[in-house]
Amino acid sequence: MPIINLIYFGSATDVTGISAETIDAPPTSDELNEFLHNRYPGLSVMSYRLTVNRQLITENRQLADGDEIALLPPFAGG
Amino acid sequence: MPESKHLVEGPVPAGFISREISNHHSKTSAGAHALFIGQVRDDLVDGKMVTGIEYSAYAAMVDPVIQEIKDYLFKEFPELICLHIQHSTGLVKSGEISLAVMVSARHRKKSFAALEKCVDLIKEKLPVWKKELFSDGTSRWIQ
Repeated sequence: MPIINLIYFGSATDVTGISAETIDAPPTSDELNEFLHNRYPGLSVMSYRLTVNRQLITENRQLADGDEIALLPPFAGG
Repeated sequence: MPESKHLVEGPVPAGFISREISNHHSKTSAGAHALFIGQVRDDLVDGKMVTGIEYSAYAAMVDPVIQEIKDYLFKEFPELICLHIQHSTGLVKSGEISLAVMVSARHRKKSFAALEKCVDLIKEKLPVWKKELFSDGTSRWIQ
């Protein structure tokens, strides 16, 4: 079980109530999503993407100790 | 302080723009500087006035994403000479500047085209979020 650093942004912080946490995560990003949906049910109905170490991921991937995972709702810059 | 050279806490100062223009007198191959200045608008939403926007950013990702945008634009527009971007984090009140983009090229047409593409890419790719703040103290995330 990798220990990862999670960061939440935008509307995701309203759901989680915090902006960051360190957790003992499941081994893959797909399982992490499932885990987060159970922990914060509001996340399961919102649209977001994940980054692993500041890279957007589009497919399931293995997580490792010390990974920085961020939850990014749709961007709204400008 | 935000950990990105492209982020500024609060509004982008108008002085940034005049300073950039002065800095470019030495770039004598440029014949055109095109500017985009994004300003917070006092929209009326359900009878409530927008008094400002609270911006937040994934600061550590901002510089790499802007580098990607620059790499793309310099490839797409070989006439481009340089490109400068400043975006706000934190509170920007209505009427204040939240984004400044300056694109320099040899000729105006390419500078306009590159500027428009650059702003589109910023909207699409920059990890920034905004929350509208209303006159009655309520707020909402914009997506």
